[in-house]
Amino acid sequence: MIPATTPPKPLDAEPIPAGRGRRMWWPAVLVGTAAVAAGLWAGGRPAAATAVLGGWALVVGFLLGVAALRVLLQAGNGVVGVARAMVDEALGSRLPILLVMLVVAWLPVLPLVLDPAERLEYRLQFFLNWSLSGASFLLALVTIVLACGSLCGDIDSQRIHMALVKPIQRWQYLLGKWLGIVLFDGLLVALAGIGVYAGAQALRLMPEADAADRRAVDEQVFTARSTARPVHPRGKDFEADVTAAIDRFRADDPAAFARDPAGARKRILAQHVLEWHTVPADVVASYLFTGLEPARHRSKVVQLRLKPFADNVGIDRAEVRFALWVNERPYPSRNGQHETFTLPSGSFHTIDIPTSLIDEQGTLRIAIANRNLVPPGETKPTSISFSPGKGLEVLSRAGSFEGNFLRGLGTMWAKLGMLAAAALAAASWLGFPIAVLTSLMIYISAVARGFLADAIDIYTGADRGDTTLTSMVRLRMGLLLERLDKLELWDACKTVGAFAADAFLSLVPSFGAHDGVTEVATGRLLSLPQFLVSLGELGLLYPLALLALGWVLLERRDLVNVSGS
Amino acid sequence: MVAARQVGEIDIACIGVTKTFRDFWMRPRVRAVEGVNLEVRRGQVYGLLGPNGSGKSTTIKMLLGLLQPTAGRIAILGKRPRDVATKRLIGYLPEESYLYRFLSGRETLDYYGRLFRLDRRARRERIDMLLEMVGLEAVQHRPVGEYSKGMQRRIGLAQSLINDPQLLILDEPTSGMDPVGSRQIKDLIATLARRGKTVLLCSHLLGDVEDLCDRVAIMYGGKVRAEGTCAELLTQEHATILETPDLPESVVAEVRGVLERHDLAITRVAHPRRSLESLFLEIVEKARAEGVKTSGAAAGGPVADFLATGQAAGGPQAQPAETPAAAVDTGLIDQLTRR
Repeated sequence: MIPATTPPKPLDAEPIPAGRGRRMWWPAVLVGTAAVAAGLWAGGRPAAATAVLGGWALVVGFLLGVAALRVLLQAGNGVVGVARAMVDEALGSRLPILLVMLVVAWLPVLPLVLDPAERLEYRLQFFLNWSLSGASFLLALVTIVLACGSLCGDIDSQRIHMALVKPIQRWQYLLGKWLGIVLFDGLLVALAGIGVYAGAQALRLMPEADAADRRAVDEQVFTARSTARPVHPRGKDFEADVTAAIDRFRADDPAAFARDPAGARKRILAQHVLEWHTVPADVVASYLFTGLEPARHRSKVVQLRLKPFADNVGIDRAEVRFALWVNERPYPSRNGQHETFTLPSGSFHTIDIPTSLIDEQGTLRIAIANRNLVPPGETKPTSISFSPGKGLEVLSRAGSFEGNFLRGLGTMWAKLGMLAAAALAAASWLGFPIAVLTSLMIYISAVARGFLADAIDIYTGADRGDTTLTSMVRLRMGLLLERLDKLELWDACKTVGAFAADAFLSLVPSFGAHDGVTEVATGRLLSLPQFLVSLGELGLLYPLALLALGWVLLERRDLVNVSGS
Repeated sequence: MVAARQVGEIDIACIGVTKTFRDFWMRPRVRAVEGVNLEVRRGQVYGLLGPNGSGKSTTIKMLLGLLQPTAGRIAILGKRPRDVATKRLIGYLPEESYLYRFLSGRETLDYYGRLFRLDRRARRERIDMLLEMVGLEAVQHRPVGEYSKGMQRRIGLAQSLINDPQLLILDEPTSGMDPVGSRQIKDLIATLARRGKTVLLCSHLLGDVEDLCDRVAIMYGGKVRAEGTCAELLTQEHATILETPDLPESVVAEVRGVLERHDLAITRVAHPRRSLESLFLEIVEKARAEGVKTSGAAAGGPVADFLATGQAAGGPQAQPAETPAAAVDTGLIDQLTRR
């Protein structure tokens, strides 16, 4: 029924004041900070002034970036609308902003706490490593808190009702949230990148310890070097030896081989590679590094990076002594004398090798002769060994530091994208505290996957070593049956727990396999294909899968809590 | 196309709708709604009445696709509640204002406008009109978190109208409003009904429902206990009221005599009473005329163009009621539709 009374004339009440609108505090802060920096500069403290100005520049960049994001997210589209609200929410949230401020405060201050007596190369590597790792960690926390806080907050406060009754699907709503967080993360990563790059360049201008230090800064830090791993000079003979060893093992112990053939092959191959990387007394071992032809034109030197161990001697006091030949020439040779290297055992060393020594096919043959001293009470010197993999490699310039740095930041961003999707998926089903804990567990598992896998092995007493997935499953099953047979129930439970932990770890990507930070800090090339794989895997495939999971969970969830009894 | 549907078609249909909430172990915990049948036709103002916990809000949330019914079927504008095309034609004002506290009033409307895929220009125009309509122009740039409850209801109402909805679902729309704002919202609902909009009004304020609704369903314990037009439900056929100017005692005695000749008797003789609401509004209007100052949201302005110029008015029952001489000078409806 339409009302029988006549409605009143609109009341011309005195309008309330328009209010303060947005609190425009930041112009005053910016002007004040600039004044403080000017004061420090005038007071003869240029380093502190530079640090303050660096923070100031980051804040200005942040504000400009936010304005750019708002312009970018203007479209009249549901997903974009949710993304825009997400960015606004991020700006209005206290904890994420506090963490962002920590990043802003962390970066300019870090160069100031480095020991000026330390070699510049190490200081730079320390700065790049810690600033990028610190920013990555803090931004991961920002991402988790933002994603869980936003979605759980929307569900708890029923704000989500207001959105989902509009013409938008639940998956679009989740996608919008993810897009908003990822764009906000992109801004923060860019700012952190600018801060780290500026800090590194400022640090580069500081005085070096000696000429070698300056050369190392230029050739080993501000660069992007590709890695060449050694191949056996007589590859076919080596393969034949391995095959023969496998055949012998199969003939000697057919039952053991039949239990785990792939594992046996892997183990025997690893054993032969280790033997090849071991240089006994008075033996010259050769290692072939190929594909170095581009390096001949790109730089004057390549680096032989090695980590030698003096076997059978206490590592803390041990030294290794060896002589080198590069493409059959003694190296280094001074005044006709072939010099011997004497280096501490068990740590990394870098030996510069002129690119002029690389032959036209781009090959470098490194021969190493053991010149170790004979230990007291022994008749022969100890052998020298190198860990297969990073224990012996040749690094050559393959790109610019800037390109590498950008790809490293891109990898960091992709990880945050994956983390945002994981947090949203968790929050689509769980309450805020549990969703945050779940997301943190995923993050920690991704960061420390290798370590956790080893820890599981130690816990259950089953060392998977270099075995394959199948052999690992067989190993665990065998162990489980054996423990059940002996009625060792607690140990059997541990094995079952290890299965569950392994299953979880197999679903989590390894951030270590998509590092980025170490590559940038150590001047190693993060190649474009490698970067694209990281971007595709962490920034696209995992987020899509996780958002799909979140959508299924949200779709099945009643978004109203029952109030009756 | 839904917009082409004819007046009188069924906009909301519920057949045997039941909702049972389950616990973590999927055991039935609460049966909030049980076997509800509803039918709301195009252009009706339909009231859903019931005390707290009677199942009104659960029913509304199922209509909006926020909850899945455990049993039964629901059709909104002929489609499933979660159908995106259907949602384009629905406006919803929840019982509480679930808004982002950090967004300003304008940004809030802009956000919801984006969800309806309105382009920038359309959003700006509609937001200007809606802010004027709900009287929040002056505070449009303040964060919603700083708004009073009444102001939040107003911005909530504005967001529910941003898409010029065909079907408006209002859950306790006058909750938290002062009598003036409450009156304005009721007038707005009446205006929209005249424009052919369908309104589902959920309230436990019986006066609001009686004032506005064509049909009413009364729920209790999750079930519809009574359903029909207000006239059907409220008319007492066994009695007759004759309204006359004040009668002296002698005339009353004569009337009593006449009735006695027909074996009837007067059961009650009393003077009619006006409603408290109309008295309140008259006092406020008088104070305003005397120039007494106040604060709060400004009075609502005219209905936004895109709402006012919608579908033509409905049948004869939708015409404005006649203005009593004692009421205010100009009706809000007349002013709202002046554009």
